[in-house]
Amino acid sequence: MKKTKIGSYKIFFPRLQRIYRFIIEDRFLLAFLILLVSMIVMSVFADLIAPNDPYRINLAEKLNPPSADHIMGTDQLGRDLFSRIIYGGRYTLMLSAASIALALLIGLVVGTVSGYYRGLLDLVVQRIIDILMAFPTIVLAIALATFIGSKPETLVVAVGIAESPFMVRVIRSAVLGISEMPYIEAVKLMGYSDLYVIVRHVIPNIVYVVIPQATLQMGSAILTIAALGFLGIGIKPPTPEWGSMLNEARTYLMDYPHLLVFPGLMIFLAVVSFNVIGESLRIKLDPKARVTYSIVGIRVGSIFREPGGDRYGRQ
Amino acid sequence: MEGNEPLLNIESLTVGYLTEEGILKAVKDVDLYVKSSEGVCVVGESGSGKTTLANAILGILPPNAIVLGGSIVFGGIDLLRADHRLRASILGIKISLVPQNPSSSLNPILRIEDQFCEILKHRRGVRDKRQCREIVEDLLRKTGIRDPDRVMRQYPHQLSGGMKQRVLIAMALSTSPKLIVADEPTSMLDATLQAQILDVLSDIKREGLSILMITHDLGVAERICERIYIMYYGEIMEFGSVEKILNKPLHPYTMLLLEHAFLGFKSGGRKETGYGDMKDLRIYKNQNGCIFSSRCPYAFSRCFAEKPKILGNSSSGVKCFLY
Repeated sequence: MKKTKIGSYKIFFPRLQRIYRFIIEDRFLLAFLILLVSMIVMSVFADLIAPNDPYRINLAEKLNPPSADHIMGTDQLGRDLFSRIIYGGRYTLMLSAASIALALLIGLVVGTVSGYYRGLLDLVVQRIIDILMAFPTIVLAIALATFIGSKPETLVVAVGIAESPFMVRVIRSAVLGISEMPYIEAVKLMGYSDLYVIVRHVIPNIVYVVIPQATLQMGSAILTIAALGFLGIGIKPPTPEWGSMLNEARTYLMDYPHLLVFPGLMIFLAVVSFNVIGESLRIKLDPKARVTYSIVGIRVGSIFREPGGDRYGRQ
Repeated sequence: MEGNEPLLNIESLTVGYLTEEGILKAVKDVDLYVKSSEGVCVVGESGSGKTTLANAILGILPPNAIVLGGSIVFGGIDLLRADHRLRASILGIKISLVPQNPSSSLNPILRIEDQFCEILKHRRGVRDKRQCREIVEDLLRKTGIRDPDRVMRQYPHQLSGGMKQRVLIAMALSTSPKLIVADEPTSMLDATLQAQILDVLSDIKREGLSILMITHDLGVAERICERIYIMYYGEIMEFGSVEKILNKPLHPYTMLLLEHAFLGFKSGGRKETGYGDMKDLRIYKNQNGCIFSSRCPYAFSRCFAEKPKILGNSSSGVKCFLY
């Protein structure tokens, strides 16, 4: 039905067309992608979008329910909840992204070194990772955050380290597989340095594993950041952060549920978006996955359409 | 050796693998030579040590393999005893490899030209992209690729198996080697493509290169080679010119191979020949006598007690008590 439209992409940008079809074919993915992009845009341009100053206290209007003036109502100090949610996205999303970036860095360095050199080094590193993995992410993050402090930067370090074992594992196993391939052996034999082989030949080959993994772990990082905020270890009031907003709202749970519902909803939507997108990417980038994923009848992801087959991969 | 020195001369080469049960010898006392612009085939079943032999020549044995003895002399230099730098100037340059599996031997995320340029940069010091492209175009054309321009810009997954094998042959040629070691280059391809790739290889040979071909297919051997070595459990059982081996096989094992080749062709599959199957290498570790005696229909008491020696001269020989 949209064949003609796609056709025009096909001529000039085959890759763009692929990505376009990739997204457009999966309505579920499309919906969450739009949601996520709007959340990110909202956080980035918070200054322009937020109708009010998120820190301005107005006790005359405290604990108002949602209205035309304040579409999400006001909190216990009369601050506009909508503005705080928008600014809060900055902290929650940005800190999660930063900690995943850190986890990715740790994962790439430790994972590739461990998987590429193997031997005793690999054994020792993996046992350390085993120990780290024995703790639940949140417990590890709490321990690290209490130890090194709860400034935004240290929080990123704490969550980044707590998230990194999974990244290391995934990257290591991918590197193990890739570095045994004859073409890698051949480059090694030519006498190129290990760094060159890793950067030019190994890492580009594992990108398809790393991207979905990072996206999936974003969801976990958001939850961890928010949980730390909620427990009072993370970002502290009055700074708007979705987790710490939940903590502030806890007291008013019964009488003013809107204070709790909106930040909770944002956390939920952000996490679900990242998970859906990550899962979709994982399935579509994995050439071996030929399954259609669905949750209660809604298709969450499907494989990329094969030539001659239908969208479910049937021939 | 009719006056001219062999290009590659392997003498009593023994290669073993370290395993839990001790050292398993995959290549035992192998003598083999390749003269310049000659095609030589090593034929044997899977597990007969053919690939180990090829890897030993190129110095790319897996870490658990050790060379137990013998020498590999290439152009007057003993590769097993030469120092690192000298070896590096020969292996992969003067001797190059055409690998068995074309699809896993190319990096899937690099264009063909980029992979080529990497080799050229390192081996020949070609840094200029345009110059590199010209060389690659030439090489690809030599291997029978009609539109090298397009192929160069493609990724390996966009090429067919035959094309990939051609690209790999071109890569092997890119360092202007004297000897090409081809480890079952056609085993992953279908019959038509096999024929095409073999044509490419024989064209290369006509230009004066030597080819050492590892294969299990006597038909392939016939097309490319002048001489054939028959290998069984790491030992050379018989060697000689193609005509001699194919028309007048001396060793019972060679007869078995020939019989299998034609039987398999007629019945379209495996057929029992009464010779029994090839067993695991470990079973024969401590066996006395001829390695083939357990399957040999002509075996007599001496075969089980004593190890036969190669009989014959430098151009042909057989390792059997029947002669």
